[in-house]
Amino acid sequence: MRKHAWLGAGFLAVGSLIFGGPQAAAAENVSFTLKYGILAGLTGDPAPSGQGWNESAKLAVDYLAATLKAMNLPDLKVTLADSQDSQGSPQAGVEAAQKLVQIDKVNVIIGDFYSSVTSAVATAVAIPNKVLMFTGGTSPALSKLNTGPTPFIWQPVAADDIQGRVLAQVIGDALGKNAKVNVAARNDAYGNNLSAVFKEAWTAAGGTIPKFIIYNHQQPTLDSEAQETVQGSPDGWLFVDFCQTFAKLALPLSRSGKWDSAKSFGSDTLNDCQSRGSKNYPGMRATIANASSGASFPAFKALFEQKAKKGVNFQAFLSEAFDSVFVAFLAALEAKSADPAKISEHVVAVTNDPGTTYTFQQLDQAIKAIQAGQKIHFNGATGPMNFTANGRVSALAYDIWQADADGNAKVVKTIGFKP
Amino acid sequence: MLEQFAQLTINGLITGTILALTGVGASLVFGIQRIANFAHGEYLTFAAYAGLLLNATYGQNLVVATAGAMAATAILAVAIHFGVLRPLRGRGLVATSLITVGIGLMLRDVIFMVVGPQTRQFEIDQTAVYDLTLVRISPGQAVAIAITIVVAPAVALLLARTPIGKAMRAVADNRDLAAISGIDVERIGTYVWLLAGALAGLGGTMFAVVQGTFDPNLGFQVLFLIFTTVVLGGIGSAYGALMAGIVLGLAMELSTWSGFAGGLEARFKPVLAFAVLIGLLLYRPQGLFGRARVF
Amino acid sequence: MDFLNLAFWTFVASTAGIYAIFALGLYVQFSMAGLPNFGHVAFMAIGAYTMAILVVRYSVSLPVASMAGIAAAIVLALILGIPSLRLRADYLAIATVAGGEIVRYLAMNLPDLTGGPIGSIGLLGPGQIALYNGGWQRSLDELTTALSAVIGAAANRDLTMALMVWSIVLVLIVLFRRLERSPWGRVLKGIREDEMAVTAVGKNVFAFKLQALMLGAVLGAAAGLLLALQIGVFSPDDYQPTLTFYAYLILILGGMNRLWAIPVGAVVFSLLYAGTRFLNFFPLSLIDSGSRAFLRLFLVGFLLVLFMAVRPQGMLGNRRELLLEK
Repeated sequence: MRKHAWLGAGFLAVGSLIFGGPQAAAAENVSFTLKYGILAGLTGDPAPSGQGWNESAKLAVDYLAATLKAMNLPDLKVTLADSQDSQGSPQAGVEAAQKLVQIDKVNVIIGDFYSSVTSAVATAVAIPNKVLMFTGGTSPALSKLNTGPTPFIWQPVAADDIQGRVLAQVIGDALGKNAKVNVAARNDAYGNNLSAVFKEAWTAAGGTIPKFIIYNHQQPTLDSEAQETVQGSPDGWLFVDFCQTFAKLALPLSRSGKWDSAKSFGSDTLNDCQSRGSKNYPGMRATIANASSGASFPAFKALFEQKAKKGVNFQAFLSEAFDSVFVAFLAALEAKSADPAKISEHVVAVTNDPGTTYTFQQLDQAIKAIQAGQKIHFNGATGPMNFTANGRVSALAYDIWQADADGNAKVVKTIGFKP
Repeated sequence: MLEQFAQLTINGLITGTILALTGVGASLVFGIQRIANFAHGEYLTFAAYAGLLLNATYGQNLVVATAGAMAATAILAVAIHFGVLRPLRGRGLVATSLITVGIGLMLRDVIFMVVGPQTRQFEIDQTAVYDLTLVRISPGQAVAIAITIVVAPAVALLLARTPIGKAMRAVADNRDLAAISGIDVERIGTYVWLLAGALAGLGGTMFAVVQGTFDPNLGFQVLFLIFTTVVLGGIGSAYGALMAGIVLGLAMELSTWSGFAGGLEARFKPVLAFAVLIGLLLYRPQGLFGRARVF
Repeated sequence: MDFLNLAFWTFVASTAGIYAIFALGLYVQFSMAGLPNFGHVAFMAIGAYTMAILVVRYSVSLPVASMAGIAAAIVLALILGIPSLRLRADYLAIATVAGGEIVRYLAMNLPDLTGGPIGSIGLLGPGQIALYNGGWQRSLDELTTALSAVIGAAANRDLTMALMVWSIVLVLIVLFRRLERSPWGRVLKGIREDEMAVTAVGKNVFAFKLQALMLGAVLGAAAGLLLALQIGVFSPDDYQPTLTFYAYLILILGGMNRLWAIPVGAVVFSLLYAGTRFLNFFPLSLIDSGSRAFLRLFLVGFLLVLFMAVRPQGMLGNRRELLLEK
């Protein structure tokens, strides 16, 4: 035990020597190794999403490493230490994160995309060990875990509490504030939270919800759920699900003959399902935090399709994992250190105006700008990011996507949203 | 409301028949081999992908694909029987169950590795609808109905009339008595695995077709429903499983009918299935059709 | 890679100890009374949920809430036991799986009561953080300070936890050794071997079985509480039926029907389960990380089958006793 305590203290001491003092970092000889670890549910139920999360974070680290090599910057290193499987369970997730943090000594964890796993890992591993986490979880509670002076939990995803109100606003504009809207949401933290926020906002504004259905997306068939969803003669529908499982509900829905996809709205995960290996339903709309101003989204998608492992589909929340890798690195570069606490102080700076905007395609220029001491604004594939000091992204505009009769989807409108 | 009732009934019958047919195999295996096969779900998954390979890659129609999947899964079941389960038998219920849990883990993760985690679908028109005034069904459901209408009576006939079927039921009912009356218990054990594999193959492809989209978790997600069918019908009772599957399918769907006190929320369907099982065992500890006995 | 990192393995050691307590619950039910309970994980879930709900919503103190968690597990044992204990072993196995799944599904589908799929963090509703183990960590810190004074070096929370868990395991094993040789324990063994005979001498077999189920439930809930306190957050996904299978594996790994083999089984299992997280060495590093995750679970399955094939009696058991199992 004595040895262990000594090692621990030694690590901290060495850490602060190498990464620590601001005086040690003159602009010309910045040198650090940033270690990433990926945490995601890679097997079982979360596997389809988790494998995609893993692939896109890996793509970003590879891209970053290749850029650094091409720029001939041997002093700046990024490594992907390991990808660990959380199995969608907080307990397994904590064990996996312990491996990443204690054994691999990562500085940044990209994941998990389950809010439950994120909250467990954050409280038990990341915050006590001062390691950064970029989560794909959408629960608005997650950023509240940042109770200390330095936020370690960053949430690149638009949290449910904002998105739920945006959806209420969008549907109100389209169908009228007093319309009857049936809600069907997948039974996980995402579906539960988002639909609850929507329900509150919608009924507060005078609308009604004849049927509010939470369904277990792992169930073999969703026929009776679809039957329930078309009851109560609603004016429209809201769906909260991922493209792949939504297909299982949409099939019996369209079979019912009482469902009108043109009067249906989807959460951000349901926008343009066709581009995510599933299909679009004519006229169906979905909102997403201003991704269209994230001009690099198509480039990311192209990169994913070209480089990602075959058999892993493009889907929701992948661009968040991708962006997080770059944000962490650029913040580290500006901090001139791989110390997570130092990186944390610069996340807001590199993702907000003022400053020249760069996307990942101009990564080399972004790196040069930071090295030259300029302020930058990194625009992700998800959009301008705009991280705030509490760890959340604050999107000011939302795109509304709509599918046409042929199943192609495009942005039909961009609306402003005042929180 | 009547329309909803009719639609729920047809959906319940479809799910129920698939559970029933898969359950017959699992029940006979449970009764004859004394194995609670926790890998049975993965047999269904294997079948779904075998069928998909024939259907999507080799362009075969659904009937051929299903037949192929049944054959492939039957071979898999027999191979696992000879390769693992038979050499390792006689270790008690719990140890054998653990072995099948291990086999299930291996199969599921191999399938994941080979086919990838994303969802897939058979090459059938997913959007078409057959409107039969009272109910509306998809082509996938129509195929499922057509195939089960042929297979279910065939299985019942096989068990009731043929010597092999009778022998299977005899062994499931009382192994020692069957052995004494000259039945080759070993051989019947193999046949039972063949039958159980083929029926799991049918169930797997049917579930995949009816669901529309599926991923390698397909089988594991229905494993406990299959077990519920088996126990509800009475372990080892083929007719019991047939009946229990249909009862279970109907009960789960019809419980959500709005004419039934507003209807149970659909997400409580699995809870209902398991609660029905435990409730029934309170009155009939041997299941619906199982024979009461102690050993 | 710092494979021998002490902090990581201390964490694993705590988990292993908790699994040992969990498996001990099965030992009473299965090895002593012959009840193949496949829904043991439900006791873990109900203990943790009861404790967390009371602490978070009703500000009940942790010790009281933990006692309530254990009491809730006993009640669940009664509810599950009364319909299922008269069943034959194979029916019982499946009925208990169903019981366990009911508990998990309800935890997932009653968000107003349980926080829903996000788990304990959502107990105060979405957008709020619900933590139940603040009091626990404070007492753990106090213990850690005391421990540091005793061993003369700086201890940490995980080490204190590990030592505490393993002390509990040792105490329980000593207690159970006595229990097994008590008249009560001998009746249970009798039931396992020949139920008829025990009935014939006038014992109420059902009552004994129910007591065994309840005692196992207490241990299951205790393990659930410790795990919940160690991790800090739990969700319905933590209580998959697989966990019960792992507990059986622990019983068998060490040596079936041997009390002192349980800790060995727990340690071996945890070493395997955590150890397979280290598959990123050459040549396995050539396989992409996504597939390695599948490979890991494949290996767990493979080792399970392999072990049952070559040493069904466990590492410390003997083969003769195995044959007594029905």
